[in-house]
Order: sequence, then C-alpha cells, then structure tokens
Amino acid sequence: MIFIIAWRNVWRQKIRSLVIISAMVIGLWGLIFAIGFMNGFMDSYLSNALKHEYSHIQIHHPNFKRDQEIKYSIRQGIGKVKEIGAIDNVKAVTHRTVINAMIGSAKASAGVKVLGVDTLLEKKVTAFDQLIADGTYFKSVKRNPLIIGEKLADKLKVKLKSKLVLTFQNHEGDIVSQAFRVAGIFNAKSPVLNESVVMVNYKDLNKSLGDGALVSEIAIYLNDPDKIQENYEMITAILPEYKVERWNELAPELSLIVEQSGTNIYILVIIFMTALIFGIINTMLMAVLERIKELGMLMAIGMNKLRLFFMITIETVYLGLVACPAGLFLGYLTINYFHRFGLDLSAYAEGLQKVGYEAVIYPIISGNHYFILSMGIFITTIIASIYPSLKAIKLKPAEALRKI
Amino acid sequence: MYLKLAWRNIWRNIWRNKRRTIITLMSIAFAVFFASVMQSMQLGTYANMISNSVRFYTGYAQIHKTGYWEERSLDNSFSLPENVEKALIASESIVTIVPRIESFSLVSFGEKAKGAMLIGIDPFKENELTSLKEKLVQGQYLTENGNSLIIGKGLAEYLNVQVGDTLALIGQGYRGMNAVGKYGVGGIIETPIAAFNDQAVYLPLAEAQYYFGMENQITNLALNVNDFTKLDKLKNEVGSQISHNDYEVMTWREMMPELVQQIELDDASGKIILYVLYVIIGFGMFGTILMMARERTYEFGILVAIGMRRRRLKLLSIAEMILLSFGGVALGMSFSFPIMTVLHYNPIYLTGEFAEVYKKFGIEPVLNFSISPVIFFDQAVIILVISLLLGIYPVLHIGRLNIVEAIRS
Repeated sequence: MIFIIAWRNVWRQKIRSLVIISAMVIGLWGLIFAIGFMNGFMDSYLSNALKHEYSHIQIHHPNFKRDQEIKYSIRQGIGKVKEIGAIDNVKAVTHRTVINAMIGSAKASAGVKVLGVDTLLEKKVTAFDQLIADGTYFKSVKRNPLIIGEKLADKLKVKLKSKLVLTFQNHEGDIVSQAFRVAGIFNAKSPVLNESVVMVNYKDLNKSLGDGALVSEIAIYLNDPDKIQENYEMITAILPEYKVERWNELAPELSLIVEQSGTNIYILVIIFMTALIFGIINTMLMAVLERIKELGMLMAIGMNKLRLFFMITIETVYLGLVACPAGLFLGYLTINYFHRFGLDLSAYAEGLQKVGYEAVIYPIISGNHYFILSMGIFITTIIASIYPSLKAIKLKPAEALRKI
Repeated sequence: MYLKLAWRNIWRNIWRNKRRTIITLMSIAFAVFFASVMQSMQLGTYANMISNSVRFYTGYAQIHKTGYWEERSLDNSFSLPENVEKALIASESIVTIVPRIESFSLVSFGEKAKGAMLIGIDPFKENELTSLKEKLVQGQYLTENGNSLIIGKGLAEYLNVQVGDTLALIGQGYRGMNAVGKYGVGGIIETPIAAFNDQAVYLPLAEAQYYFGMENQITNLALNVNDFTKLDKLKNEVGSQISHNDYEVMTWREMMPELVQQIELDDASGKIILYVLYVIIGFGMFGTILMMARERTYEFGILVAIGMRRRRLKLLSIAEMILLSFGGVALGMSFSFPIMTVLHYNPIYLTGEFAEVYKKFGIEPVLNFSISPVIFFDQAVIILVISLLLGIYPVLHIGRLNIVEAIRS
C-alpha cells in the first residue's frame, strides 16, 4: 500500500521529479563514460606494456638490475630457455643479450640500450614483428641487421638500409665498434622502446662481445596470466640462483597505475554523488514542505511516524530507481558505440605517445562498475532522504493541519 | 529609490525559504570548491611541467641554424656573428642569451660505459637561465676555463663514479671527426627531469668546442626572456634581426609539442568532468528556480493584476537567480581559496612508489597548486552562464502567466 502511495506521490509534481531524475541520469551517464574512458586508457597502456615490453616474467642475474654489465649473465641461459618453454601455460620464452651502447649514424649519435635477440623466439614473446612500421623484421638485410624505434630513427636521421655504428665495451672491457644496417623501423607505444632501444641478432652481438652463449635476460609470456604464481614458482625452481620477477615487480608502476585508477573511480563516484545529494535533498524537502497539511492529516488519522518516515524514504529511492536504469542504459549505449568505433584522439597523438598511450581509445567498462554505480545511486538516495524524512515526522499533526 | 526597492524584493525573495536557499547555495559552493581545487592543481602541475622543461632544458625560445631542429647534428652548428649577438643582447625583451653545444658521446669509467648527452655550456650564462648551480649536490660547479665536467646523479651512480674520478669520452665530432677526451668529474647534479639525471654530462663551452673540434661554433642559443606570455612577439622581433635563410627561431611550444599536447589533453579531460559536474549542479539549481517560480504563481498573478510590468518581474527573477548563484560561488571560493593558498606555498612532495610513477611519466613528483585568478574567473563565468540559462524558465513562466487563473490558484 505504502509503496503505491509513494509511487503516486513521486508523479504528482511531474516536472520537479523529472528534473531531479534527469540530474541523476546525466550524472550516471557522465560517470559511466568517464570510467569507461579511464579503463580504456589503462587497458591499452597495460596490455601494450605487457605484450611488447615487460612480458609476464623476466629472469636476470641478481646484480643485473643495479649494474647492467655483461658479466652478470645467466649461465647456460639458452639451454634454460628450452627447459622453461616446456612448462605448462608458458606460451613463449626467449633470451636476450642486453648492453648499453653509443649509436652513431652519419648525422648524429645517441645513447641506447641494445637488445641482442633470438629473432624467432622474440617475435613469439613480444610480437615485435607486428610493430614494424617500415621495412622488415630482420629480413631485408643479410649482414648484421638491426631494427630501431621510429623516434630514434628520426633523431639519428636514418632510413632503411642506413648504416649505424654501435660502440660498446666487450667482455675484456675494451671498447669496440660494430656496424649494423637498418632492416626495419618499429613503432612501439612505449616511449622507452621508441626512443632508446635497438634490437639486433644476438649472434651478431655476442660475437663482438666475445661470448657466443651470453644471455643477460630471459622473458616469458604466459597463456593464462592468472596462473602466474604457479609458473613463477616452477621457474624459480629451475633457476634458483637467479632473480625471477613477475611483471608487477619488474614494473611496479604498472600495478600502481591500476590501483590508482581504481581509487580515482571511487573518488569520482563520491564527488558526483555528493553533487546529486544536494539536488535530491532540495527536491524532497520541497515535496515534504508543500504537503505539510496532507502529512498532518495522515498522522491525525493514525499513520505512525515510522511509516511516514518510510514513505518519504521510498519516494526518494523511487527517484533513483527510475533514474538508474535510464542512466546505465544510456551509458551502456555510449560505451558500446565508442568501444566498437574507438575514440580518436589523434590530435593529441604526440603527447599521448610521449607517455606510452595509444591515440585511439576504446572505452571499456565491466559489469562490476555498473553494480558499483547502482549501489552508489541507491546509497545516495537513502542518505539524501534522511533529512526530508526527519523533517516530515517532526511535524505536529495539530499544527500541520492548521497550515494553509 | 526604485533600485533600492527592487533590491529589497530580491533579497527577501531569496530568503523566504531559508532551508532551500542554503541547500542551493551549498550545492553551488560544493561544485565551485571542487572545481577550483581541481583546476588549481591542474594549472599548478602544468606550470611546473612547463617551467621544469623550459627552465631546465629548452629556454623559452631558441635560435638555431636553419634545419638544426629537424636534424640535430653537430654539422648544423653555427657561429654567432658579433653584430647579431649585440642586437640580441640589446633587445629589451631578452634577458640573457645562452649558447650551447648539444650532442652525444659514450662516457666510460672502469668497466662501464653508457651513451650520454654531452652539453657544452657557458657556466655563468647557463646558470642564469637554468640555475644549474643550485642543482649541484656534490663537488664544484664548472668554471669558464676549467676542464672538469659535471654529471647527472643517475649517470654517476650507474658508472659508479665519484667527484675526482676521471672519465673517458668517445664520440663523433664535427664533420665526422673522432672526438676523444679525458675529463675529471668536478661535480654531480640532481635534477627533477629523469632524462637529465640519467644522461647529462656538462662541459664548459670552450672545452666542448675543443673536444668536438668545432671552435667558436654552437648548436643552439637559448633565450631567457622578460615576459614569457609574449613569445610570439619576441619571435617576430628576433626573426627580423637575423636572416631567415640562415637561422630559425623556435619557441618552447614548437620545440616540445608533445608537452603542449599532454597538457591540453589533461586539461580537456579535467574540463569534461567539471562540465558534467556542473550539469548535475545545474539541474539542482533548476529544481530550486522551478519551485521559486511555481510557488509564487499566485503572487505573480496579483502583482501583474495590480499593474507590475511583466518585464520587470522577469528581470527580478533573473536577478534572484544570479544573486543566489554568486552567493554560492563566493561561498565555495571562501572555502577553496585558503586551502589553495596554503598548498600553493607548500606544495605536496610525493614519495615512494607514487613518486616513481610520476618520474616514469617524466613529471616531477610534486603536486603544485596555482592561485591564478583565471581559476576563480572560470568558475564565476560557468555559474553565470548556468544561471542565465536557467533564468529562461521564470521568464517563460511569467510570460505565459494567465492572471485570472494565477489568482485563483
């Protein structure tokens, strides 16, 4: 009974109720879009970083991170790669030689990190062959091929087939130079890869370094990232004296970004809901005050205070109940549209690339967020109803009835 | 006399329902508070990003040999003719001109080597622009005729060098010559920009010119200016003094388009959130104005019946809305301004993992707050626009008012 009365009360002042319902719908819609946008940004960033840069697990010599020297290498690394590759759930595994070097073209020079990779294994792990924007993945040059990031190539003014000289220290600590030719130019979203990394064949590099079997890094990509713990333990057992790290240890900022964006979403929800509360309180307060006489009459004929309180609360919740599906649906349609067609931010491409983001964002939102928002609206209406409901039950029937 | 009456009317109408007015005021104040604090942080952070890059790296504008920016090679260096130098120094808007050589070299110490950014500077002029001396954490600053170098802290740690150690430098000099040299570490600097911390090596200009084999040549000339808001004017002015065929003048916006875009994008996404927030608040305000107009239908009817002009009544209603809005704006600012001021003078320095994330994105891990009047002006304008838009409702309501029906209601 009380539910029906409350429902009818909501629609007595249609415009007023619709105004506040619209506010909620727009609030929800805006929130869904903002959350979807934030998620989209993060997803593309995270998946790019994992896929092309960090992989799921990496192995190094315990001292490698501090001093990136070639003496801190993994013994029998190439054999271990095969062993790890046999583990269940490991999709691909590769080894790399990592050194710091000077790179010089005919025009300019720069400091770079050189990755000596096994070209076949590498593309299975980091899919670098998919990032090649110009030229080929190590194929078009016969002797000492090299692939280079777009930004760096631009800086050094090199094109395909250009000669580049790497200068670095070999095994004995002597400074040696080795010439390479550009086989391909890649475009990675990560600014680090694009601006300061070149890849060469590990055999070519190891020859100059003076140790054909040198491995400074092993990278592992998993089929199911959720089973990372299990795989981590197995790999640690194979290489107990080396440092095995999961992606969140390799790049703590990635997990922090994920965490931070979760917090940001809650902050945003709280701010929008707070803004809504003011409007809802105002609307309901008016609804109570203009019905003083009627509410007094209800009390006079025996409606108890608890039920009256309850009735006002339900009226408020009804506002949210109407707004919630409409807002969520509108948000769902918008997210769906942009998820399919993408939100093109190419106008800001350079700035986005500088920090490792894609220029086209595909907003995405999980069912979980719809739930959080529904709960948010529900809690908001309950909180907003307290003051008007209290106001209603404080009325004294005799005085209220005398009001015009 | 008449204005006074109108004023009294407006004032009393606003306060005829105290609770409603207070709630409306609070909702506007909340939006203004939140929006101004958020904008203050954004603007403060942008200003810091810009000043970090500009004041530490590019300067507000630079002069190069034409084509240098496209192809940053030592071969695109130039030597500044004396008459141009004099003209630039004489220019009123330029404070200092700072000559530099920028290139890369392999720096090695013991068993370690790393590619580093080698910058030849005029120690005194450089310090005027970038306050490089203040960044020194160990050892001595460069001297004009000295032959020791200073090195970024991250690079020093990587190479494991101390002040007093000698580094070997190997690189490519002017026109493909070999450049080789040995220099003692005179000092170590720590900067907010990670790229400089991990890569920078500074040499006195003359020494760098000798090392690269390019006497009297420089690659770029950074300009320190009086008023960085008038860079385009400066650019034209400088451009008219030097030959366009030989030199290019670039402002920091042209040299760092990605920084400009990052700021624009962040600013745009922040604005979208604020606009949605304001729309929500706007609906709340609409609720209030709707009730203010409707509950007074009877009163309006009587007023029109006894000869009040409708136009005057409309103006009165709009004035009420505007006054109410600005009350909210003032209230919100009275909360946000003290907080912003305190934070402006005491920026929040982030530590731990968050600091690492900021560094990863090339931003100094500090939250700066701006107290630029623009922030307050923006809020006031937005709220004014909203209240004027909402003012359309009472105008329509009063225009459509049927006196007979209104009086009977």
